[in-house]
Amino acid sequence: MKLDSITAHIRLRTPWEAADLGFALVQHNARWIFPAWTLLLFSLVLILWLLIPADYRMYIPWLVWWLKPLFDRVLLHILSHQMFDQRLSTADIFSAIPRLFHTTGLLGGLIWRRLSFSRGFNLSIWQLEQLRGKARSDRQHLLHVQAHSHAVWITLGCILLELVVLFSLYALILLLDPTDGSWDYISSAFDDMAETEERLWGTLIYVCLYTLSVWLIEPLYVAASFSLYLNRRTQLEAWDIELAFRNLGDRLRTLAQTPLAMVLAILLIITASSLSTPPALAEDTSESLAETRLPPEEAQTQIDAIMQREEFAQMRTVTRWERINKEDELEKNKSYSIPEALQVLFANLLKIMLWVAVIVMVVLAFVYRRQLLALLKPLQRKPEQKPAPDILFGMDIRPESLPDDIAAASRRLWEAGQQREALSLLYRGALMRLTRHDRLPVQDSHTEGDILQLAAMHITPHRATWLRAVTRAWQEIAYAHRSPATALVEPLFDGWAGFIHVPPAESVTGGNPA
Amino acid sequence: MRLDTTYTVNTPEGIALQLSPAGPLPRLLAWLVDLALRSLISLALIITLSFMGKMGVGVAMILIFLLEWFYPVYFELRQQGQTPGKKMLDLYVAQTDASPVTPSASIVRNLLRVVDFLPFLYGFGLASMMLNRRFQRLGDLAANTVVLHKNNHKRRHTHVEAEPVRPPMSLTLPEQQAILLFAQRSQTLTSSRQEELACMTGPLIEAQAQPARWLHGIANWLGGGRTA
Repeated sequence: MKLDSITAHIRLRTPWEAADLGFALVQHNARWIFPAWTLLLFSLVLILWLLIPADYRMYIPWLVWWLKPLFDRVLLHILSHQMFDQRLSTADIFSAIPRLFHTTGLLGGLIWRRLSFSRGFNLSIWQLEQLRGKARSDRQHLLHVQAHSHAVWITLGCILLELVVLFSLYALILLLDPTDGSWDYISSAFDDMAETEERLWGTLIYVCLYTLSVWLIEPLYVAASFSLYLNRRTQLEAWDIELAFRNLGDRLRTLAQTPLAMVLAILLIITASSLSTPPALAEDTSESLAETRLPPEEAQTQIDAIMQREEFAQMRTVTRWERINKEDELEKNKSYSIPEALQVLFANLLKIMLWVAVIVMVVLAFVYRRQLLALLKPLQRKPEQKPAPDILFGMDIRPESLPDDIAAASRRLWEAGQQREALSLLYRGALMRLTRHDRLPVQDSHTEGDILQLAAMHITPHRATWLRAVTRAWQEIAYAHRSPATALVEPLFDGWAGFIHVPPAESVTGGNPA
Repeated sequence: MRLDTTYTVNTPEGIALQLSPAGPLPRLLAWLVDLALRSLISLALIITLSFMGKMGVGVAMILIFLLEWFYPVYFELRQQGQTPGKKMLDLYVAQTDASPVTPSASIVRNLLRVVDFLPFLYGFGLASMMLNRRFQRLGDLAANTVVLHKNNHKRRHTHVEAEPVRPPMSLTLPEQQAILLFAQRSQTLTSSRQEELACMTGPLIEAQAQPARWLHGIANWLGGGRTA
């Protein structure tokens, strides 16, 4: 055994974590464990089914149960090799079986050690350590010191898991079967008086489902026990420290270069099966009528004639339990209903409390109607509405920073010779209108051109033309320091009133110029 | 990547938490313990309340209903995610990022027990656990919770008397941890095994008469002991 090639992460685990590691081992390596295991188990069950006479097939599950130590040996053989990174082919596994039979104490395992509750754990000592006699019992005693109770609980737990799978499969059949037929078949397996054919099917179901549950759980059981065994040895022999120290030694020896060990674990991807539902067929609900309708009496005779036929004239005897002394029961109830007043009181109290609760709920529903109605609305995920920016291009465009009559104020500034301030005020006013009233999603990062483009999609062409003119005038004076002629600016002041006047239709639809 | 059941969660502080999800076996046993407890309580309720006639039975039924549905929720929220059964097996319920289980998640995962219970005795729950890396049943998947092993660090830190020794060369963090572990677990190891292990470090114990003792010295130095 080379500890370096172990595929599991070695650390000191709690016993239950170790058991989980066993489950994970099966989970990850299912595709290398299950083919050979499936072939072994199912071919064996098939042989048993063919060899055993029909009357005794009921006992096949018992045989499978009894042969579990045999399966365990094969599974441990697969799992232990898997653990140390050796993938065995199905042929390898089957050719190893004869050797496993006589080198692993199979006979004892099948007879007097069959009922041992820690058999999975002990198996590793038999099979992997190959110890016998006193050496084995000493070794087992040592390993059992801290692991025995967990080994027993793993065995018991796996028996329960097997039952879970078995009962679940049975319940699944019953749930998915709309007729009650399957119940008859299932129960007939355990009923000596049942008909032969029913019994055959019932037994077949029983054998199949039990085999399936063993098929699913036994690898988990062996892996969990094996993993517990490894954990106990890790604890006793400090495998984790051994690995770390070896690495330390190697590193120090070759300080120049650290060996690059790359282990690629191929991960099992569990595919979720997607269920596709067949399209529902539209049912033809129109009534089908015969072309000629019979008079009621004639129809009745025909119905009677049909009902006389064999298919409909069957009698069925249904047996069920009925209470015989109904009257007595009532009498009795009356006789010991002493605290009747108390019961009535309690019932009334509960009733009142329920009504109070209903009223409180109604009141609450009225008080919180807005929130509740909001819940009913279909969820509309609006694009996140950012608050309109307060400052664009370094200019304050909050409404409160601007005069009420922007056109008049900027005209005054223009006439006073403050041309830059006048156009800036006008442009700020336009931006304020666009962001506050037209609710354009203007962002800090937009340029004047971006805003023009954005606005063109949302406002009327008339307003867009004015905005373009204002933007152009402002850009000229702001960046090129060229004052536009007064004749060109005058229409801008006049157009302000037209710009802030939003046609009613536009305010509703958001304005989409054709 | 070596096979392990754990997964790692990085906290905002940059700490990598190793979480160890619990598999079907410990969870089954924990559930059985809880089932036994609940059955005992239900039995006691029925016996005591049936003295009050039909009304008593009715009240008992209501109480048992509440017990069946909200017993796990109560314990998960009030006892750090541990029902008595889970406490016995050192398990606890947490969100998948290891934060405490939230009330809504706890309610969801426990209401969905019905689905996991189908077709009978947690058949779907078992299937879901085995098809899932973190052994989550359907309720866990819906509530984004996971059942984890609680790490009880109750190990006694044995102290071995040895003169603290400064290691002759610099050691990486995992190596230092291995040496400290070696010292802590030396009581469970035979002395010959200790010598054998110590010899594996190669150059570190070069030309030492007592390699194990020398390593204990290094462990003491790493653990904070300084040469006097």
